[in-house]
Amino acid sequence: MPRKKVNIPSSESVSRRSFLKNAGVAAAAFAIVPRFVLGGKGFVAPSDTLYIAGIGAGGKGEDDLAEMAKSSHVKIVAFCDVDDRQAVKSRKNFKDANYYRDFRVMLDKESHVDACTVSTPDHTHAVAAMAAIVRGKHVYVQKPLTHDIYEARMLTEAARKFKVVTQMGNQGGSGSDVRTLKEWYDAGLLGDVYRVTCWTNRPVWPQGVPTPTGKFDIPKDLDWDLWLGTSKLIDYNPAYLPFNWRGWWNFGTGALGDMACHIMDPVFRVLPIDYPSEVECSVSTVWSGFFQESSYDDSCPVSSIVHFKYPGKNGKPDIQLSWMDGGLRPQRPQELLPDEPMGNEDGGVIFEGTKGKMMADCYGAKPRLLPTRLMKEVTLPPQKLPRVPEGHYIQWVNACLKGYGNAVTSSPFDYAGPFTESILMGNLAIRSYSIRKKDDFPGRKKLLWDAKNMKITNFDEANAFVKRDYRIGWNL
Amino acid sequence: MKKQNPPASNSFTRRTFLKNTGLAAAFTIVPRFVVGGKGFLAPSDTLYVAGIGAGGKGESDIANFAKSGKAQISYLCDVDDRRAATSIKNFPNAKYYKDYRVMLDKEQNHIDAVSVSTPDHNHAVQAMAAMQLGKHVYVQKPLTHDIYEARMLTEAARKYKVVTQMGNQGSSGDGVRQLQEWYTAGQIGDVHTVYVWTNRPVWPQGIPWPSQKAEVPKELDWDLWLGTAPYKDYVEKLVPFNWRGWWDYGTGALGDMACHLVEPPFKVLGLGYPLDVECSVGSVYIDEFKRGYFPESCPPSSHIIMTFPERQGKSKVKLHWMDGGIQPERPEELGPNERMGDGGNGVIFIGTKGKMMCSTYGASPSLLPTSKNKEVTIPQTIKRVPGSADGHYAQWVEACLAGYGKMEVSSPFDLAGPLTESILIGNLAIRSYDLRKPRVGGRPDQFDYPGRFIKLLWDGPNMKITNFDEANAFVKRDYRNGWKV
Repeated sequence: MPRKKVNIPSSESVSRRSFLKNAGVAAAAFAIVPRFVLGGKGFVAPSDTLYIAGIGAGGKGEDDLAEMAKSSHVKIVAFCDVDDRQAVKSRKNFKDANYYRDFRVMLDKESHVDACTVSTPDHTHAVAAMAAIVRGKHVYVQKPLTHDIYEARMLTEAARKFKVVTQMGNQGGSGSDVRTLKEWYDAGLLGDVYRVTCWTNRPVWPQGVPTPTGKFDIPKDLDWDLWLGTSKLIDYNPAYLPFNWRGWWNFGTGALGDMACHIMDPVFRVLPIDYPSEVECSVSTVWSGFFQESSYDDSCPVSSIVHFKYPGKNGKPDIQLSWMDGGLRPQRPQELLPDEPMGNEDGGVIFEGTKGKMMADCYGAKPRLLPTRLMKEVTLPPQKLPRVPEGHYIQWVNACLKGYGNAVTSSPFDYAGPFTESILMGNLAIRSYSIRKKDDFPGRKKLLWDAKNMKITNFDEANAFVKRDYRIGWNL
Repeated sequence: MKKQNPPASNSFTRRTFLKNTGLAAAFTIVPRFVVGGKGFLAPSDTLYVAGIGAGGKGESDIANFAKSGKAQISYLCDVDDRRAATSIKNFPNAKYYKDYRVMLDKEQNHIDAVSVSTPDHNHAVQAMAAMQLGKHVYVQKPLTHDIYEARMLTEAARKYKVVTQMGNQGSSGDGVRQLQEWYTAGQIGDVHTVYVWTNRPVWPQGIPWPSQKAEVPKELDWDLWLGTAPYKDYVEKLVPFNWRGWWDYGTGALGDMACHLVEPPFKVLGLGYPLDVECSVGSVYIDEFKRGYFPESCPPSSHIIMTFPERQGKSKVKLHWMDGGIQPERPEELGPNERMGDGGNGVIFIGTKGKMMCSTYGASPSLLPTSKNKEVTIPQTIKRVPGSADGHYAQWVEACLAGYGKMEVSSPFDLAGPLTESILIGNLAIRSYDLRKPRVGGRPDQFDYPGRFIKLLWDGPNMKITNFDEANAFVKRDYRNGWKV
């Protein structure tokens, strides 16, 4: 239900969607009426305006809405949040927008919107995005695209089926630097890449900790049941909101979910890879006492190392992709001088090829060849790939305005879906690693992945992590 | 000091016996048949051992010496009566002391050899005191707490001509000899990379020092237990085991397991001092964006990479150490369902022609793929130690009886010293990683970590990090007043 402030749009208000519909029916000639036909200087025609509804209005949601609104072609007409405290700033920023708590109610009532942003905790991404997509809304979904592998596959297919413009919120994917990395690779500076290593300093919040306990009153501003959404019903605990849900498997996706969409993005953008064929991991152990291994299975791990193998494509060698988090970092490339920094504080990526190596910071930023002196010695290839000067958000806005298939975005689900699946394979490995049977850990081995069928073929228990069960009443 | 049975003043020890025969000039050792009949153990065949540290590992070490049949446990020493109880029961004739200095002072003429099985921070002073009196020593791993101490003990062993053995019993095992034979026969070619990993620490690390003061148990001499360490109030759960996870006393996962796990590559490849070291450490977050800073505590997990120099036509070796649950990438030769190492611990050698793997103590050596184990037969060229790893104790007893320079042992300080130094360089890297300075112009809670994310260059002969001087604080710590090595 709309809450507190309800501005039902006046019935004569002409949204872009209804305008286009009518224009289509009445005239059949143009897909879009040129804006000069309708109005004078300073008038933005409805066909030039993207009506956006935001799902999740605090934190990253707040930023996302504010970024979209920077376009003069965007109108934030509605948004929702399950926690009024989180929505305060967005409500101040967009006084005319209708505010809801339940995205399902909002989507029903605000059927005229063109597009939705989804900036909620990870466990709600898929159902919220899917609800928008099946209504034909373009979607911008925060990273990681989904919580589970299966959900990522479903969203990717739905985006194609419903022909909506999609973008995952890994904004570094629109950066210039990642395009530079691709130009270097395409120019053959690295030869064939056979190994890539990525790392992050995340988690920068406690993980590997016991499940929070205790009874707490649900804050009056929060709809806890809606916040839980697809998750099984558990008691409210302040430990989860608004940020630390990231470290709990019920809701979040750990360090990989937080950062891999940024740090691994150059890998997937530069190299010819899609789904992994194998994954293995190791995870740092938490000891609660002398020889007492803790099993805090609800909590994501303190630190982990994951290795993925991608079969070579088009005659290229297999690619080994390694991921490290929680403070662990890869071996320094021998080309790096003892006092030269490796990546930056957030993390980094190193590509190793048959002819050379390159390194970048988080988001693929600051690309450099290794050894770094090559940056002066080598003639770098000319800029060849188009840049995205308008940025990740506006790129999506403009693509939505042009309509499905008429413009590219940097992280459409065709790209972001398989990419997210890979990241979530890491989590599947981590969770399999913790499966305990008496004193044995049967999941501590190399897991073989049948990507087409989304199935681990040599350890069936792992498949529980491909698709979780939703609470009754929720489905994709 | 509960129990004191002073040996009868006319007790005839091997040492005084040898001294006298020495004066008589004919043999260094009187053959046992000259002295007695069947079943008689001649003094020259008996090693009189004093044990410093009688509980836990000390308890089993002492029992193992006695099992050789050639050692008599004459003296026991422990700062904690509770820990000594079993050993006192096992060796009712052994005289019990609390302070090793008193014991060595009073009983030096009745002791041939000393076993040191105490917390790491007291190894060096205790072993040195024994060696200076000319006693052979068996010292638990890691040999010492600091790099400098390891160097000093290694030199002292040569100077005082005593028989030495570090307590990494796997070095007497068959496994490391099998690995050596495969390597020497060229089965894996030139080794350039080694991965070593352990599930240790299997106790909490990366935690704050317990602030709650506790009462010192009446059986424990806390001041003596502290020994060289800075004075601190007694806290619960530090003794008898968890001292391992605190830098003032222990040496973390490396100290606990690296002497067992790094020994095979160190021995097989003939590694010496490393050239450089880098590390990363598992971080601890106590709240959102709030990183725990517990520099007294060893880390929950670490990944250390050292480079060892070229040796006689052999290429440099990168040695990776991973602890706290993290493990190396599985070799592609290992089947998806095959166990790597022993699951929690192991070693992988990667050479130009092949790979080999073992678990803790060099046990379960295996070529990779494991199918090769059936195909490859290399003749045994290296003598095995009777009893394999379990024979480590008797080997030292025999070597002590034979006298310095007469018999080989598996882990003399000439090997164990440099091995321990290498391991402790890992700790130096970890501790350098945690050094912090207030950020210039920053908020009070902002720090820079100048020892982080760089490669530390090591000048082995001079025991010095050459590109980050603050790291050298970890080469040699300051002892509490009144203690020196």
